[in-house]
Amino acid sequence: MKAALAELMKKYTVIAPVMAEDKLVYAEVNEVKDIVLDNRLPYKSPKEVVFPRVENVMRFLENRVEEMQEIKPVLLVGAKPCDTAAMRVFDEVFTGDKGRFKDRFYSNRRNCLTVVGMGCLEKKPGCFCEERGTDLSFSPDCDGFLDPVDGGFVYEPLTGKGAGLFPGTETEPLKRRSPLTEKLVIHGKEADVFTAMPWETYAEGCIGCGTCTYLCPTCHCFNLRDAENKGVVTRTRVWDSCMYPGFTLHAGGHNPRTKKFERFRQRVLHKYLYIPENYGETACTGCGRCIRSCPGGLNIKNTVSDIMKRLEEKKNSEEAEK
Amino acid sequence: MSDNNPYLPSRAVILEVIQETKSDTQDVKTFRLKLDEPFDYRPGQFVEFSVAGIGECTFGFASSPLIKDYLELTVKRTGHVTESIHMLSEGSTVWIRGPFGNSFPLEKMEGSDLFYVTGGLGLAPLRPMIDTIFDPAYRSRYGRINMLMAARTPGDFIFSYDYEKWAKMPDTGFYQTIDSPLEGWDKFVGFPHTLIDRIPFQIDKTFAVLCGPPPMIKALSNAFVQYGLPPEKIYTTLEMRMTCGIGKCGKCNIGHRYVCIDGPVFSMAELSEMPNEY
Repeated sequence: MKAALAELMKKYTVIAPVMAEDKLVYAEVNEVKDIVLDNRLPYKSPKEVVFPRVENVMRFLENRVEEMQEIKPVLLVGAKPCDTAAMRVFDEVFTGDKGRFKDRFYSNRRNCLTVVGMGCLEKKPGCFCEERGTDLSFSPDCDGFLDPVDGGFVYEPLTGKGAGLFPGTETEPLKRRSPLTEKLVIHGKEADVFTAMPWETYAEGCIGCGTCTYLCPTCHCFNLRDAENKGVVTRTRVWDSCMYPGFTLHAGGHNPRTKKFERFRQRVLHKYLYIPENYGETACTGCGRCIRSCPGGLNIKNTVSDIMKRLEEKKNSEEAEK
Repeated sequence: MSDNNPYLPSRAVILEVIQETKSDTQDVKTFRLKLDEPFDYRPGQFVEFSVAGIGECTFGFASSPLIKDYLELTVKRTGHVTESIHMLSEGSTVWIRGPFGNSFPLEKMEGSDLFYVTGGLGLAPLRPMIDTIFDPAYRSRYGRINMLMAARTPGDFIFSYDYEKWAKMPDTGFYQTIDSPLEGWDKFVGFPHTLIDRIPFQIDKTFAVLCGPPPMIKALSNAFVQYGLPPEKIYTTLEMRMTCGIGKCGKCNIGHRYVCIDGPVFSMAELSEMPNEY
């Protein structure tokens, strides 16, 4: 395994779980011995491999612009199922057939990425992957998958891209659990969910820090920003967050979402109602990072559960009236 | 667009800067641009307009798509980017991405009367439609046209150099209103929603097209609906903060709609089904 990874590091920039001070994070690997291939979920999601926090789009020359995207082949190893499932959401939004525009700036990077997944046995406080239909023992959203066996690994390639990465450990397709059903979903009308729920109560405690959006494996909102350095102007694509009032602030001063509860509502419904309507799947994989890291104790799982309960009660009382 | 990086703008040069408002703030200017790579567009669509080093901003086209030599964007000085745009002069280089968004349903409105109502800068995104329909090649496809233009003071009207031409167009009612009475002003005074009953129009064959500040749009569409105009026949164009223009960045998301790709043009019937978050 170590020898194979050392070989792969010659061909790819390898991103894998490594320790950074006291936290396990996905980061670029300098030495094979730093890779932590176990069943723990890293602190941050690996979305930066397809969606860097800051990415150069282009620079301005006198009469034209010049593209500046720098792309190398990347191998993400040891990605956990909740994180690989999230890439399906990214793919849908940026390049999926249901979207009206395909974003080449995204697909350039995505096409150079190979993902090797791994199961996760750690259920941290706040994890709710199974309620969201994410199987913690296997993810089909990878190019190959590693399974631990007697102190070593077997490797199951899932795509052509994933074939031949770990010679000697390759296995025939393994028998996996059948896909889980999603239990935590919102099936409701926009009007019912948007106004008829106690959003101010759900959002109590929010300090508007945006940590949830930065740690989330599916959050993908962004901004374009110009920066000047030594007379050269570069335009970058940078992460943005719907939890900030400036996200929707018009130049003229009008703001459609001035209150924190309105912004929390946007975050929850964008994931659980709007993206499902547009792309056919919920943009939450149950990784629980937003719950564990929220300084105000906001909890998307409890919020969605409560909405489901209230929608069910409404349905029952409407049926009783008939 | 599928093969191109959607964030790359192309170059344009400013041919002329037109000072629109004559009131104290003089805060609205129109920029006439010559594009390196000209493109076709439809009335109601918009572009991302940028100054290198300052950033991008969203503007509706303000000139008719039938004009092929240049395009115009009308800019109110109100924030960081627009402050910089206002300092530009003839010959300056700027950058354009687009066109983006849907457009006014001109084909659907054929055979009908039109009633345009605009407030202040809201006239700008309607001008491509107004001038297209006044073009001899299009005019006969539509019935009577009423135009009610509102501004705070007489000096705040934009495109005032077009008014004489518009007012003289056949089968056209041209009206102006300001917020409060002023000596020497002999036209309407008051907010547009209080004035539509003073303008004769045939309710059963009219499409209303509105653009202006959100409170004006809400009051006006209520007034038209009370008058008997169905919400399906009232159109407006929404303004939202935007970055990408292609439904990715998340800024202009209202319910499951994105103003940049599902709009900016919506009927009141469509808006009534969306969360009131604009």
